[in-house]
Amino acid sequence: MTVRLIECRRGDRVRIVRIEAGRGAILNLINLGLNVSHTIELLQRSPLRGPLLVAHRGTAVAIGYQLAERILVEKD
Amino acid sequence: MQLVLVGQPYSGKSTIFNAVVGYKSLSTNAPGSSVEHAHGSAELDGERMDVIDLPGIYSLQASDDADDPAVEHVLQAPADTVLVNVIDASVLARSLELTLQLTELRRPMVVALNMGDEVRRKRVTIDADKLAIALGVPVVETTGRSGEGILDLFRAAARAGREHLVPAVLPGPPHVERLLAQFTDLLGDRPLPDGLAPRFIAIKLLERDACVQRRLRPHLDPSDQAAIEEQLADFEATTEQPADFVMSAVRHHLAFALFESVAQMGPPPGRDLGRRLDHFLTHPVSGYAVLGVVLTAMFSFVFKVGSAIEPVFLDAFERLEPRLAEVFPAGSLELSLAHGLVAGFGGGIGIVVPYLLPFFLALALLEDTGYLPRVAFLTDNLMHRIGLHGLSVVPILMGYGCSVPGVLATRILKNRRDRLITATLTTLIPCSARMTIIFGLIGFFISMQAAVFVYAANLGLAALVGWILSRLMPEESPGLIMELPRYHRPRVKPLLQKTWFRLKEFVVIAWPILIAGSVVLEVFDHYQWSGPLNQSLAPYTSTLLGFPPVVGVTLLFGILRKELALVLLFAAIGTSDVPSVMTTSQIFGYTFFVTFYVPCLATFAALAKELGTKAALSVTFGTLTVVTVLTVLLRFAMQFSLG
Repeated sequence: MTVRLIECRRGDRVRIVRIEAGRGAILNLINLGLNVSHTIELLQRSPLRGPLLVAHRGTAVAIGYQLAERILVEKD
Repeated sequence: MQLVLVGQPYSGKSTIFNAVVGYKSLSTNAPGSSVEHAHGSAELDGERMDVIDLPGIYSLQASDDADDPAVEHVLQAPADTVLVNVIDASVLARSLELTLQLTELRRPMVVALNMGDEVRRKRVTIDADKLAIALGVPVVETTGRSGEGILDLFRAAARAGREHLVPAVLPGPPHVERLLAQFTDLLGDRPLPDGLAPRFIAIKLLERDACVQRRLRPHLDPSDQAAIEEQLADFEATTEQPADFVMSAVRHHLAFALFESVAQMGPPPGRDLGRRLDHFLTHPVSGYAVLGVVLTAMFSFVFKVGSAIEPVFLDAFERLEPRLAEVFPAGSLELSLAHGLVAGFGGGIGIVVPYLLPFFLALALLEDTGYLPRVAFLTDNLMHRIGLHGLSVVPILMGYGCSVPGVLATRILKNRRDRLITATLTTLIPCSARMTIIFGLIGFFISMQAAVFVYAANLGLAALVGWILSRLMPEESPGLIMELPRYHRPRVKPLLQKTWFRLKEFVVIAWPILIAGSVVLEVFDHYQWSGPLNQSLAPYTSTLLGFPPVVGVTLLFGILRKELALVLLFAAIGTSDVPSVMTTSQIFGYTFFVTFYVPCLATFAALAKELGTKAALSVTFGTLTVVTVLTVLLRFAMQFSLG
């Protein structure tokens, strides 16, 4: 089932299927090891459209809400 | 020989740099800490080497059209440069992606497999020799924090430079290699910018890298450009993806394959303390609770220390005053000059030691433990309301100590818009000098509650200005993408060194201005120029703002140093009993005005340094206009309500 990253719950392990963002944002994500087909774990969500915290291979990355809205993931 | 330390953020470059050349670089556990590259030199086995520490970069691939200064530095490095690629071995797969890009530069290189302690904790074993064979350059295991392996690293770097040990190139899949070969053929034996390797340029052409394209333009004719575009279009038609994403994916796979061939994973460690800590510290409830406690503790620590130490220094300088009168004849210009020097010098110490020192110490502690990026995470939603993102919280926090380092800290922000807005807000944050005025005037003469109210209003004003500015300059940045580094146990020496490093910025930029300001003031006083000046300012200060005309001179000198306005006010009205001369609404208005009207001269200098003179002038006059209007409104509102 494909959903947006913001719709996931804490502790979910999901696979990135599409990133609907600009080139700069995509490259920034890729640089931190977050790319299409990678599996990430949602570690934390924050209130009031705050950022999300995800982990991928030992790296924890904070992603702003607006960007997380544009990351499509598939739940395992 | 020149050694350039290059690596991803948090890889520990600065720690290695500092271990070798002494403390010149801010090695921290917060993003973008080495904001400008640091130079140093070291002597190794009788040979002198220049060492440069660059800010961390994740990739040589530009994510926007702006040049990244660190990437530029790598590309333009002189021919005798040895690249020292520092890798956080505990995130080896990801780190190798940058390493692979560096190998394409075909320059002498060594690799430091750093963070050995963390690798052992994760129960990973890395075969450094195997990696060295694959990359074709020396690989040295280091633990920057303990200094282990650093000497070997620099010896290996010196050898790589002498023997010109250039890394091997790992080829990508055939379709990519074919395109790269087409591009290198096209480049032929044309002279290339900065002596860059043809294959590297070919990769950059494939990635449509704007910065390299710009440099290449003089070397290519329009038909070449058209041919390149055509070949790229063909390539993308088969891959069905933008070519730069293809290249990233290729690199990712190469790096991962290399990682798998050299690393062996042991059984996973039972529990990850850092992960658990993060769960608690970024949690929507406990995270904010801890943040509140930490900030309260930090500020009360600073004010406790400050108010305890300040009198000691003030007394010392007051005792110096009569001595001056003994040395210089009364009423002489020399006495005035000496007075000015002592007052400026003492004023600087009075800010630095009691307030800035404890403040920067506390801030350094938050940084080194790795808590500061968590603060940025927690405040991102709030900062979003005023059009910024979480990272802006770092300069703003610093602004509580002094606006000068706060403004300088905006360098950690990537785009200019964010820097401009954050710097403007930082100049509005109640710094230690403004606190002195607010609590010294309103707190002392009206009430403590009123002072707290003004303090809170100050924050409200900053938020309002941020909200307005972010609407004037709509967001272009993609929002927050920030790595949260691992937690570290802070160590005393780096903590002290970093605090000193930050204080130095204040000492170098702000202190000379304080001293010069005090001297000018004394000269002014000596020749009794205040009267005519007050008169010429009266239409503004008195008619418009409603202050007694005698305060004109205090406003002028408050620009040099905010607390001067307070000290001078007592002198100007001839008494320290302010309410006998000024009404409550005048004291309110005056405090409000002095707190905000313009950034002090030292802050102006910092703004001009970071953002350019034009931006610094816009911030200054913008603030002056807004604050004049607000003061006039406040004046009539107070008159109306107080009758």
